[in-house]
Amino acid sequence: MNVATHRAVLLRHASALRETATELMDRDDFATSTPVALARLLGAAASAIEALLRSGAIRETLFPHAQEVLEHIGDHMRYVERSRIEHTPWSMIQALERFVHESAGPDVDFVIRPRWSYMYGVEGDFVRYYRDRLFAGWASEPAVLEAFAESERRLFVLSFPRSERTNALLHANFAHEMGHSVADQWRSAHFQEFWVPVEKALRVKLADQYKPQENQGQLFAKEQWLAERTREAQRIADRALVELIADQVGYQLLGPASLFAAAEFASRESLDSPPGDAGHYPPWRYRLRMLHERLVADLESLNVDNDYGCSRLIKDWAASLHSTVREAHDARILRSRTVYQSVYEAIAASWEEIRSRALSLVIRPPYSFSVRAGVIGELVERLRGGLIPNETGVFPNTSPAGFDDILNAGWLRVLELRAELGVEAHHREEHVRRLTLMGIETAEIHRRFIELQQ
Amino acid sequence: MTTLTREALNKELAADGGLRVTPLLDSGQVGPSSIDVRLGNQFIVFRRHLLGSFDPNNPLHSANRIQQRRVVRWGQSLTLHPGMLVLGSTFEFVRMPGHLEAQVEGRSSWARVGLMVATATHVEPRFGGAVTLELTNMGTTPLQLQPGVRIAQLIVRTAQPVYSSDPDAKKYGGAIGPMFSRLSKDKELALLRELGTHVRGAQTLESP
Repeated sequence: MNVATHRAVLLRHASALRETATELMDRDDFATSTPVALARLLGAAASAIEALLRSGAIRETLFPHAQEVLEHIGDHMRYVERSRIEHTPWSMIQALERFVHESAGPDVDFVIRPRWSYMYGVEGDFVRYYRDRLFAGWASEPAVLEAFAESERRLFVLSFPRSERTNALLHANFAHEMGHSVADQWRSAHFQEFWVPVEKALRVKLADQYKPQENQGQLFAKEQWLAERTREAQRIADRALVELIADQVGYQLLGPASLFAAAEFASRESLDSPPGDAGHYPPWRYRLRMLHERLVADLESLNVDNDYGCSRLIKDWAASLHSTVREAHDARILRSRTVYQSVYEAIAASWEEIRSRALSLVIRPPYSFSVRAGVIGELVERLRGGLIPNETGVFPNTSPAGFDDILNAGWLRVLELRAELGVEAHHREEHVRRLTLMGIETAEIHRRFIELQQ
Repeated sequence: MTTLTREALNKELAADGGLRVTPLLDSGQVGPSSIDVRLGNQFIVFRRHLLGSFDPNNPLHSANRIQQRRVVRWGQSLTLHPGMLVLGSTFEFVRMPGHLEAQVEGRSSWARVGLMVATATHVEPRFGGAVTLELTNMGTTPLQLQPGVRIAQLIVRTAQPVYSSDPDAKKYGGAIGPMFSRLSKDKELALLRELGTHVRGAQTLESP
């Protein structure tokens, strides 16, 4: 393909993406304006590529990179399209946005979109990704400066399993995903400081274990062997710390609801997969154990007389989780290879410091079940009576309930039904989830109404 | 049956196991003998281009095929054109205790501009959910319906004897938004179909 044709093809692609972004920005079927903000960013990025192609700032040698940027824009445009009301748990999104702003700051926004695979995830921040990575080579071009002029906003995309769209309770996992942005901040600032001594000690241990294969006794082969294992160890350490920090942030934001959701998710998977076989993720049992410790510490100060039986419920559940996490299968797995053992021993040795540094980055004070038990109990009692868990108090002196309290109440009611009915609880659970969803929305509207009146 | 007035309504709304209409954004929604309810933001609209007519006897004519759910963002409006019917629901979640029932009535302010609210107006004892509202524009001017607006009123009456069946068993119970019609689930429809077969059979026998 000659240069002129190639440039024309790229121009047409950029122009089509810009137009698609404009169409998306005109739509009014998003739960909030955040998807439109992402569409605007993507449209501006497409427009900047168009301008750079026309001005010649993108030379022939950079066509492949321009092509890559356009492919990213197309991929990300899909997220905007999929975040329309009909695809999302729209009735909880306004409340979630308020919660995000209170937790991470007013400049942070999340677009919610479904995915077909059964997993939660987070991507972003998109502004920095486009401005500082994809457009880094053209940073001083006027078209690029204009495209990212309003770039202080931090935009992320949270994804959830499509089949769980209306399962507000499982969406407590969003708190863990929000924790990834905190984990990333911790990683940028502190990971190297953690990793350097671990790597040094690991190389010494591994070097002792190295057994040259026949005909492979050269120094080069040993170095390669060591490099492969230390690279693997670094990936395992990085993934473990990111997930463990995100778990802790999730608990900090939503308390036991985040643990209930994590345990529900974990119940579908093996609890003791070795990191090497599980995308470097830490074993679920290990993660649940750390969250269980947090719950136990929280429940130590529990002293509520009138919490409608919630203390008993959560203590029973904590005891049943304890029987799972006290098993040490995961510990045996983590001792089975030097790479795992070195990483996880180092994490254990520094964990308190890592955790407290990471949690100091969270604006919102820690959620405490012990403090909120009375309110949660009141909301659970409403669910028992077939009511939405949207407010506390007695008419006319009622107050809208918080997003975090509602999720905890919904979960406790579900756990209560499971304890009473076993697998037969399924249909009743669905009812609780619907009531919870409506409770979240009406409480948010109620709160906004009060704010506007004041 | 006695209609509850403001004092009795306030008492019921505060009583354990009593009437719940939640959330009441403004305690002034409780009037002299009724409770104003607000419009929610979910609607079911008709897809008129898909079917010529609706036949509850035809299993292919499920309500899902002729209607679809639409959500209007808070602060925006749904336009109801003259002659148009949509299903909306109350913003409030209503739970009737066993000793009360309610009637949904439109507000005169809306009736004066052509809006008819709720033709199936009875809320039974032990109902729990958002109440579906049938909204029709009987006037000549399109109407902008904004979620949150006071759209109707509940007239609450005593029911005797106290009704005590399981609220979950109700046909439309537990709704958190407007519900699609379940006309095709009416048990009588099968019987009516059979009745038609017998009549046709009889005619066949008598014909020469």
